[in-house]
Amino acid sequence: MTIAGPVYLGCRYLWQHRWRSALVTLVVTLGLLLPAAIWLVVDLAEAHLRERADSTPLLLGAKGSSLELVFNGLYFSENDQPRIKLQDANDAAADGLGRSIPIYARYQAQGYTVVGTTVDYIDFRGLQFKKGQAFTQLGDCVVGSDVAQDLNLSPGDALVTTPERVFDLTGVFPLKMRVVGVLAPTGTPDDRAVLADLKTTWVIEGLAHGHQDATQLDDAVLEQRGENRALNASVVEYTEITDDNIASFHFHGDMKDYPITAAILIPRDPKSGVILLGRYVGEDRPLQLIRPAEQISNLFDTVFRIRALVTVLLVVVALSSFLIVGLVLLLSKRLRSAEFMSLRLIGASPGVIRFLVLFEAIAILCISVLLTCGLLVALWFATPWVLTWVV
Amino acid sequence: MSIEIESLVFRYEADRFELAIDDLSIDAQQPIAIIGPSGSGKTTLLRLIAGVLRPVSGRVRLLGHNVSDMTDKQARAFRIANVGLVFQEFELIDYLDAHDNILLPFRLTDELTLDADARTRADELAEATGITHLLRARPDELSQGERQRVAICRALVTKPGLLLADEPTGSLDPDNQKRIVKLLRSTAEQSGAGFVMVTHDHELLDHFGRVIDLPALGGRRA
Repeated sequence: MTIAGPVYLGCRYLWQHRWRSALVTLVVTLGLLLPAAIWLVVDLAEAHLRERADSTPLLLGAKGSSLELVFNGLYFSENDQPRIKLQDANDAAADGLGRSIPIYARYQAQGYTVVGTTVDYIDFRGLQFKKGQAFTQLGDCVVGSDVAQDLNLSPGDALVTTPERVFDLTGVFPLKMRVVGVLAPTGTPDDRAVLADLKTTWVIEGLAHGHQDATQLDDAVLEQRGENRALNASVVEYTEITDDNIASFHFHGDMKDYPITAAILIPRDPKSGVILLGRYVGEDRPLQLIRPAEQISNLFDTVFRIRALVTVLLVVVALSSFLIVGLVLLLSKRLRSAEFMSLRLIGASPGVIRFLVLFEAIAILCISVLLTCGLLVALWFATPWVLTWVV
Repeated sequence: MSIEIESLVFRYEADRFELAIDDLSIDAQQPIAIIGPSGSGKTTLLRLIAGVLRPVSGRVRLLGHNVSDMTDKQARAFRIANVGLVFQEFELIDYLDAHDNILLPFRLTDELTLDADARTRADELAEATGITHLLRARPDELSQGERQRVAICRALVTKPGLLLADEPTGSLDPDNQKRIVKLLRSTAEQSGAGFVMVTHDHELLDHFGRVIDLPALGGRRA
């Protein structure tokens, strides 16, 4: 039986009816792609989230949603996380069972979360510098690789924080920060973070500020009691920390009571970790200490159950689509009965005609499989990038 | 170029149709017309001669070969090698252009090779039938007469010994009917093929050397 002839005829038929062929191919492709894509995306999302959770032993935060705490402390994506005090983080590590790294992820700078922390965080995550160095003084910041690329930032540039409420004159003022370092890409949320010293985020919050020297502003004095002066609104409050004005920045109140949103706790050993966890068990405690890996596991246990259900539904939909496609091909074969009779009269064997029909179906299936594979590969490359934006 | 029919009986059980011909000998060197009214079995006889249909009893000998006793495969191979078929509705493939339609027999069987000779032959036939400028057109872009010319080229491209035409002018206007019959006849002559045509149009009979009246032979029995 000749093969080249039916293949040629099949190709010409598919090309002549290319829009119909494309539609059938699209239906088959979607039928194959959707269930596979759900599995791939969830697996990649799990790997993406789990890697960071696994590398973070314990996380301290306010009592409430433990998952939101994980997303704030690890992925910097829940900026409304209830706050705790810096003292809480210090207390957790006070008796040598471990050490704590505070996280204050609350404010934004041009769309990216400003993460107030200590330089210990950079060591803990093993972050490398592509350019510049770590923050060393008030007003310095280090930007992740995506931030640097998107905003075209390099050491020496400035980055202004986003005011929380534009029309609230008493609210948080924007702070112009100095970029002193750019991190190498990590494929983690650190790529999309602006790291700064904890005190810098407190300046953004307005808990610390700098202004003109009050002792030199005799014209602005409203009231004076001993050494204390009340000044009017003509006093200039600094919105940028420079070498000239850094000395004027000061904190009001006890810094131990200043807010953070989470603290990473690194226990000395596994036993210390268990002891620390035990200390935060109890309904009356205003704090919670969690293992992020457990939270992510719990999250994905639920996601996996939903995925299985969605996959079953998608497979049913796909099978229905395939049946409809089969019906279309069957009806098409009936409509072409005159053509097949002509081919038989001219000299085609029944085998040649069967091969012609089979080839057309197989060609559509092969193109669909290739398209599906191509799209899955694209999804495989794109998903981690998308996840850094979504999570 | 002979066709011999002996004690032929063929039945379509479904519509209680029977065709019976005792003896018929045809020398297809001269153009032959088979006539008869609609439903008299003209097309059936043509398909029996071509080996597409098998008789219940009797024999059809074509070019010295008993096509009635051949297997499907043998009959198909014999038909491809020796018989060219032209149909009333042309039976062109709508997703192939005229050139591909002419060369179609070469794509359907291993017994023919689509080589440079075949392509040259297709071009010569296209030139002889005046459709060289239409070879890249699809059937739906051609007139009825042009489509029939493509079908004639397809029937003759394999150099058959016999050209069988089943009412090839049935869909055409009177002017085109005469033109196509002349074209069929002359092209078959040029190709050295015998020519047998089924028709019910008596005005075309002047173009044939012999006319076989099927009802007069026995023909259909219901």
